[in-house]
Amino acid sequence: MSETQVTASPAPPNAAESVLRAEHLVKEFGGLVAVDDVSIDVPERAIVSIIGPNGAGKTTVFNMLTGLYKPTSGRIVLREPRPPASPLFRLAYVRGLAFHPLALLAAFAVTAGFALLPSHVPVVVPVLVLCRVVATDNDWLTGFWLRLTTFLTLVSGPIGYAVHAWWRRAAGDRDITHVRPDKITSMGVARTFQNIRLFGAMTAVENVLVGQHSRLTSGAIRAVLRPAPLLEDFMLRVAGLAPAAIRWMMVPRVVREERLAGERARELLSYVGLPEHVHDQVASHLSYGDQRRVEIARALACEPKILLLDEPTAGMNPQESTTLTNFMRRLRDELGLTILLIEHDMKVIMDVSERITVLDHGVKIAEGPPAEVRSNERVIEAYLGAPQ
Amino acid sequence: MNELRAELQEWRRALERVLPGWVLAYWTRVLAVILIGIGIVLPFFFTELSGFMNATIIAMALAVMSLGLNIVVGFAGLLDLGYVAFYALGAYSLGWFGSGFFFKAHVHVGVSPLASMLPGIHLNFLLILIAAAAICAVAGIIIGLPTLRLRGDYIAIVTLGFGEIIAVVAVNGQDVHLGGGMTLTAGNLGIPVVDAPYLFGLQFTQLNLRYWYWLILAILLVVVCVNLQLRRSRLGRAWVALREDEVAAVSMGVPAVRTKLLAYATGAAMGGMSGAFFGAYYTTVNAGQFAFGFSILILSMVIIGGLGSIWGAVAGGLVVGYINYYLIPDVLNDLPAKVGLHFKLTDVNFGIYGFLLVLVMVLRPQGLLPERRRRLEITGKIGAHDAELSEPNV
Repeated sequence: MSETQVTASPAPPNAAESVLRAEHLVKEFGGLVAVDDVSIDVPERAIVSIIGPNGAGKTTVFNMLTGLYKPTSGRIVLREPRPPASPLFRLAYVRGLAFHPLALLAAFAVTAGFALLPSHVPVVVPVLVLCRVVATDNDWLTGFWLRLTTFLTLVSGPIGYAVHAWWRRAAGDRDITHVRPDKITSMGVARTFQNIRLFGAMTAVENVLVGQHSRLTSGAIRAVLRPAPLLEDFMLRVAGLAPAAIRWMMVPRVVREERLAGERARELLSYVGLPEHVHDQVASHLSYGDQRRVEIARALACEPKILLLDEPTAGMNPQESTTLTNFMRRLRDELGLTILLIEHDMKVIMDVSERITVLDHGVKIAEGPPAEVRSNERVIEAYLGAPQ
Repeated sequence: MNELRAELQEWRRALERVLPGWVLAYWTRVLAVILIGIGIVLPFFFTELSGFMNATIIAMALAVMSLGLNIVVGFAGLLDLGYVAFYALGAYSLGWFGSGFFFKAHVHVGVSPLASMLPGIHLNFLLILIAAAAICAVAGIIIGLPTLRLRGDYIAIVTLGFGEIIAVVAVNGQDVHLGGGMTLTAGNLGIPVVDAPYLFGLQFTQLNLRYWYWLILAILLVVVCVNLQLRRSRLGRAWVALREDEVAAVSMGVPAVRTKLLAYATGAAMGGMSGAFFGAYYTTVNAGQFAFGFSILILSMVIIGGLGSIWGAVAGGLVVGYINYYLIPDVLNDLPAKVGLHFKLTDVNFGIYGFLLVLVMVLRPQGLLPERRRRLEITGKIGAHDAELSEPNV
């Protein structure tokens, strides 16, 4: 028996490189053990496949990774990059000034003070008027700035400290085993489904817009208070004439955000190769291949770092499969994605993946590069049956 | 059928030749403006106390409720059978904050000179509307919380229970003493004299229905606008996504709990506003008003209008409102007597109404003005996706 690298629980070769790590996952449904002690390690910007016969527990692993199922035992760890800090804050940090209270205060007072000015005219103007009423001295603008900066100086210390603490804590590994699915998505793990699960009655663009949900910020109140559609068109048209600096002031944030989201959705749909004339068609009227494309676009709209594709080539002809294979490589190279793949098409798997994990009856039976897995006897046995 | 369609196409082309381009591009908006214009001047064509005005006012208030329920049932797909709870809470907010019911308190904010001399809490009607919306939003969230883990019919059962609880509390509230001889509700006796709205120096009275009409028209327009804005927002998309496929929606980053609770809260707030209006219009807040049948009435409006469709909800509310409060009692009531039968049409009110419901379901299951998405589902072009997380999908 020439067993090539059958590892029950691999110690990750280089823990810093992996973006997603599942450790000893077990999932039981009643008495049925669907997944039994499976560990997977996904290196950054790799394409990793999970294969196995039907009922091997592949999709269950996916469901656990995305938080839809909670594992019976085991742990899932996501490596999160540091969130981007504001340039001023970064400067202060790099210069080693982050702990100098005065530097922090100044930085926050200045950034917060100026950030208020351009885009928040509707907020600032009432404040100015209020200051005019409250201020006792004649120079009301000075009074306003005095008050504002005093306020910011008072609050910026605690805020600065909180931001700094958050910034440091957010970096590094995060245990996502018991995190809600939508949180996991917003942390950068997006997926597609084995049986396409588009929102059938929405258009392709709307589907992708739902994918952007966690990346958009405007809530119900902003949405209600924004200008009506006709007014919105008019505002955008008028704003289009104005210089860029003023344009940002004229258009409310929610309108801007919705417009950009719509443009981004169309961009993504074109990127996955959906013809432009079907962008506004209802998803369930699209052809099967196009539905697959929309699903990938919807997942990409979550701005993931890790993309989980559950049998993306199911029901495709060989030529379409090849196109998709190339597309996966493009995703990795152009968008810097890490791809985790469930697949039955051996040609696709051997072609695209750098690492393969083989499951059978919920147990990991092999793991390694395609060439090794292909010649692994236990894998052959699982797929073709034991030799007589 | 095809000939008819061809004919319509012909008509359309003829219209395109005649009408200016902007009318065709914005015909829905032009139509909306015309309808609103007609709506504003409508009272001048009727007397100040006409039965038709009365029916219109009630129908519009019902349309507001139907819009609220449409958010919960139509957008978010959460079958709510306890909507009467928000009618009750809205009406009681009026009873509590706009009458002499809490007679030990003396609070007066922006009310008429007459009301400002009376004991009790008297707030301006607009403040009461806001309070009713806020109270109902909170109640909506509380009622929504236990349904979060449930699906479909089970949600209906839980909300039904809550609706009944509120109705029973309304009846028994007369025995809940708040101290100083004040009780929580007045039970079946009703909170007798509630303030008529006093807005912009105008005192509303039962002798002139025009002010009431404009008030409820304004509320209806505001609620329609809120609905339209929400519909094409991030939140509106999230509601529909949850309705279509909860698992997929959650996997795309839609927070299920928050989004569902927001649907309950928004829907309830609209019901509460309408409830407060009803309380003021009927000049009493009576526990007997809050029966289970009312929830069904509102739900049938939403369904007849077309689930998930804003204009459908308005149309459904108006149609059912007019049938129930004008056509049957005022216009056709003596019809059986005229053909020699010994009963009044109001006696078979529910029969007629049920028959119409069945008729709509058979002839036009997607509703009067269906939403594009729902139309697709009902006419069978889309298979209903079932979220089957309970089944291991390996």
